[in-house]
Amino acid sequence: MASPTSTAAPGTPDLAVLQRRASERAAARAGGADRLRGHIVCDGLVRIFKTEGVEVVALQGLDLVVDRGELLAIVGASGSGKSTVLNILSGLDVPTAGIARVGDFDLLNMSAKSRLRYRRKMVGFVWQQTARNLLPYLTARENVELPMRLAHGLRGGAARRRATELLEMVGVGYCADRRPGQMSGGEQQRCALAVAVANDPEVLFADEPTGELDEATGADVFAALRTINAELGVTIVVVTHDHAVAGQVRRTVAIRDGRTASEVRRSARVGADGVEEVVSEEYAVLDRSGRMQLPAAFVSALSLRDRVKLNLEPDHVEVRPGDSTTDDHNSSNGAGGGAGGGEAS
Amino acid sequence: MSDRTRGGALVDNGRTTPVNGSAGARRRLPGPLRRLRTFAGQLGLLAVLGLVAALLVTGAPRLANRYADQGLGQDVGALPYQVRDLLFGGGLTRGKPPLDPAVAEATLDPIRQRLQAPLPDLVNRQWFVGQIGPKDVAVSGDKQTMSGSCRPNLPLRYQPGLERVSTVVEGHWPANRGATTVEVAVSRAAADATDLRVGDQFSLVGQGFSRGSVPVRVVGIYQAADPAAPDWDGAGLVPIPCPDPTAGGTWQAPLLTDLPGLTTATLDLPADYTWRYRVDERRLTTAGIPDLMAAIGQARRPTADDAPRLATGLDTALSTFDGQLRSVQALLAVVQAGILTTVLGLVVLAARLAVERRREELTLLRARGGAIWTIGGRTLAEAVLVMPVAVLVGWAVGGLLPGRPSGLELPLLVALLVGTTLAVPLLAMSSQRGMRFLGQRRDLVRHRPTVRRLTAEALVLLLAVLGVVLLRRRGLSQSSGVDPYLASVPVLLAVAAALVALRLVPGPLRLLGRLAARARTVVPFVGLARAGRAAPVTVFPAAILVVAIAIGVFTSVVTSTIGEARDQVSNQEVGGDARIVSNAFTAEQTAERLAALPGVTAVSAVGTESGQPLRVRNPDGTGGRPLGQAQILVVDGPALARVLGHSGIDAELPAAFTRPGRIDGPVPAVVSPDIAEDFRREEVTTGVTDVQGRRYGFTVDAVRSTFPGLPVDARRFVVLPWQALPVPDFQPIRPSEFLVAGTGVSTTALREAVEAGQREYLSRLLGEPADEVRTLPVTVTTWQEHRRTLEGSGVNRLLSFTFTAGVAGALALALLAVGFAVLAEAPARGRVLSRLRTMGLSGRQGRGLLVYELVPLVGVAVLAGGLVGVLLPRLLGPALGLSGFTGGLPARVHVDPLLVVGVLLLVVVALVTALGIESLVNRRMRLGKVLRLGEEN
Repeated sequence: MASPTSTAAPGTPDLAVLQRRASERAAARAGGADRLRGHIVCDGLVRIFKTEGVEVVALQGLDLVVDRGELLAIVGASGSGKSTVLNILSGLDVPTAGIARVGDFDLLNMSAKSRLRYRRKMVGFVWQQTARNLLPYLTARENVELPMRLAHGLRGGAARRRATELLEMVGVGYCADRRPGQMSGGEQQRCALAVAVANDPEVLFADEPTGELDEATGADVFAALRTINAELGVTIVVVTHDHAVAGQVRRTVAIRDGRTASEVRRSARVGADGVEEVVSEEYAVLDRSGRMQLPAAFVSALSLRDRVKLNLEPDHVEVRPGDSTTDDHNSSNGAGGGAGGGEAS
Repeated sequence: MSDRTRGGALVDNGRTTPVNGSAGARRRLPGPLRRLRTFAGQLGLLAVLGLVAALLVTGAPRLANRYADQGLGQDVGALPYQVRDLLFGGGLTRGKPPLDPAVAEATLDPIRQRLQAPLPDLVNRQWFVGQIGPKDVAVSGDKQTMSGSCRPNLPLRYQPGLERVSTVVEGHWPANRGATTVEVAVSRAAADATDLRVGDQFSLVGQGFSRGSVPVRVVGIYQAADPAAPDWDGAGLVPIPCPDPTAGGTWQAPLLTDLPGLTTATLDLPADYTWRYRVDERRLTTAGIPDLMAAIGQARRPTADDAPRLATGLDTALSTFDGQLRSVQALLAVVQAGILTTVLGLVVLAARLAVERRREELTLLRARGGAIWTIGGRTLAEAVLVMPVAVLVGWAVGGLLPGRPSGLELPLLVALLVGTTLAVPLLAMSSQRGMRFLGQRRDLVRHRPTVRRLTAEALVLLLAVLGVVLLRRRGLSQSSGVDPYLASVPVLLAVAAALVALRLVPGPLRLLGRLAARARTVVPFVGLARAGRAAPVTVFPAAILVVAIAIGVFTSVVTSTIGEARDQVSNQEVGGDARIVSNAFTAEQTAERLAALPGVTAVSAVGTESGQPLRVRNPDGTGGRPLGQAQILVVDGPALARVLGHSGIDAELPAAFTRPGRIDGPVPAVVSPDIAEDFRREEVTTGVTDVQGRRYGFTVDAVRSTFPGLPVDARRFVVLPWQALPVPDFQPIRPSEFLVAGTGVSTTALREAVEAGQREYLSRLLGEPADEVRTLPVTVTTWQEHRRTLEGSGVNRLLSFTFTAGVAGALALALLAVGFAVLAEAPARGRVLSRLRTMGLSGRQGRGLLVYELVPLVGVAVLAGGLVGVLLPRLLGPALGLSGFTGGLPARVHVDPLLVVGVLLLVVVALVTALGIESLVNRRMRLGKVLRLGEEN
């Protein structure tokens, strides 16, 4: 296990409770707790944008598995491919190669018709720009009703009722008759969440939903996201830069150069003193071919360049600088960076 | 909902500010109407364009038809009655008893009814005339005027209805009751001219084949209520020359009688009957020309030997008009197609702009589960509320304009209605098709065109070139109406030119940009760099701009070409500032008189002889083999050169013509190509011809297709230098024309000078006092007048309409296209500007940036459009049939220097418009707002 960072987060019980409830709801939806595995599966996902011979490889073999009812955050630097993953998963973009599956939908080989069905029934999403999520000439309630009408779902009074419920659930029930121009950014974004789940999708994708908001408003929006996750059992994937957000989800996946680089898992556990605390552990991700990325901090700390030496130890793998004479004193703590054997095998 | 996280950010869920109830309580509009209100600007723009297009489709053809119909009416109305009316007469009556006048009169209606449609309906007036004389009938009486060698011509005429359009001023209207002496009435003017009074008696005596005599008595003198009314055609007082022309002139006037009077007279003298039908020129339409011509052609074929024969020039006049009309319509079709294409292009552009502006909304809809058809349906629901109304309003307004609708109106209108309504939905659907709607990454802008696009462009180019080649080979369609092929080729060519220009321009622009990068100021560099990128949005407006400018320049070039050709025709046919045609005057004195007139700077006498036989010149100077006939012109070379020089007519005379001095033997001559061809065929170079009774030999010195003073369509002529001809003093050549150079000379003064010469000549000849001699007609044609007659044709108004519509329309649309180009790029430019402004770009520099960006676009469009416009008349050449407007002279493409100035002015106006629109669009765009727009993806 590499550098387990344990933090005692004060908000853990909530997180744990919510997570549990989300799992229960998701299990109820899926028809059994055994069906929770692999709701979203990306394997070796590649997306190449190509123009005039210039290729931009946005994703180069991304692996990701998200379980049903999970609330997952994807973090990464600008240009790392976060939004591309999200667009692919939302059914708004098609990958160049690899596997991308959400529920029963294979995102690589979808007909236009099933893609439409996918967008209507399976997924909801929220963009970063508050103004892009809502139609400016419709009220909040009408905006929520719109996906239902587009999907030929609920109509009339039923649609109205559901729209009102959803708006209230995300905490903007009072905005039902306002148009986006009359709402604040946070209200708009929460309204957008209500729109995204209007058709009761199984998955919700949010691309930096708090990106344009101040901290407090961002927290509002994130709280609404968690509520949705917990109350509706919707699997949620959030792309974010916001550390506050990243710190409040159970699993955070970091993407670097179009690949899943590492992930942080937070779990609640009862400490020796009987107080429940949250433990965050960061893992590097090993792909099918056994490749993994060393965290940048590790690389720079040991000035690792070009070549490294790997030593297989009984319970871990050792990584040492590739220089001929290795000074062991640097890695006295096993800090040469090694993937936890259990994780790597 | 417990959204509290321990120690974390507190979610303030209690922020339950009271709901602003007003928004919720208000009754909301239905969806499409609400969206309509939100996107009123874009849809409004589209609606205006649709309205304009509908107006163009309905209004322009109506106006054009009206001008054409008016022109036809005007042309036909101006024709002399012998040409425009259907005159039936004659028929072979040999061996049959002469037709009784009463019977003849009764056939007036049956003849009309037998005419082929549409003639019977078009005839609005008809006359029957029975007349004895003036051919083969002479008057004989006691009076001096009735017994001399030069007696007046007084035919006996019966024309029912004349008594109703005249008043008897003396005596009474003839009322014959079978007496041998026929009662007649004469007009006041005729009575005065021929010295007839009520009570005068004389006889009409048959001459030649007609033997017999009819005594007549003048019982009344009448005054025509309106002598210019068509009733009096052929029944007026006409001066005629005496049988011996040197004896001066006399008069011809009808003696009006009634049916019994004519019946009595026909017992002794044969009468000619004329059944005359007038086609109502106001009821003529250009669309009816083919039927009308067919009907006239049918009427020309007599059904029986003794059936009356039709004599009319109406079909010839119609055919001439039709030919000219076809040329104008071809022009109009080109202009209309260009303008319509431009408007439709603008419609597409506006639709694209609307879709582009709503991209986010549409993408959201699509992403939220909207099918392609949902997008189409929603946008259609909006368009359906606006576009049909706009098109129908345009149609209604266009329908208010006078004139016949074109046959294509309904289909075009329906196409327009459907097209404009579907423009936004279709484009919206195509923009959201497949997975492309989100795949637009701003960091992946295409700089080079795709192979598919290049292939399509090459295809357009190929089509345009093929079109021109085929059109030149085929010429103008012979079927009447608009030739769609002709109309589409210029547009295709303009589009092809635009494509080529836009492909070629980025290269030099990049080069310029590189140069600009070295300069100190940054604005040209940034502006040119942006312009050199050739973003796909600006390609389309530029193409439209090119089409608009091409059409505008094309019309201007055609206008100036026709104008110039008409100037040339006037130059050739008048041969000076004025041309005077007459005869019987003293040559030298008249020339001197003319030269002495104030303002006259040069005078040249010209002798003309028409239809003179040409012969090969034998070595002994006599005439040999015949070489056909030709018009002979004898010009005083040096004087003519002076006249041409002073009048500013650019026509070089051969050196042999301006050289003074007599030449013994054959003189050098200018001959027409036809004559030269005859000479070449006969393998001779010298010929002889007669000039006023004397034989002169000539050699072919120069071959010219036209010569000053001759009609431009003259095919066979020989021009001889007067000064070189060996003319004996005792038999000088009498001139029949004077070519005069000078400014501000009144035609009256010219006429009077020639009339004075006539009096001088005739008084010497007749031995009468000069002021008692009646002068002969003198025709003075000034250059300006002649130029005006060339413009006087009925189709000219349609032509001017075409030009005005073409130039004005093209100008307006060109400006609109520039506006669209600015509008399309406004958001992107707004972003760039805002970013640059954070780096210290001033507002003024920002405007400079736009200018640098637009100058290449507008410049290239103007250049390409101008080039196409100038080349089009040359390329289309024979297909346009421009020579129909120029009196036969082949129209050489002429570019007015003013056009260049105008085009440059257009560029300036376009840039000012662009700046205006830009400041209007980006005025509200605040720096912060623009910068917050953020990345699209």
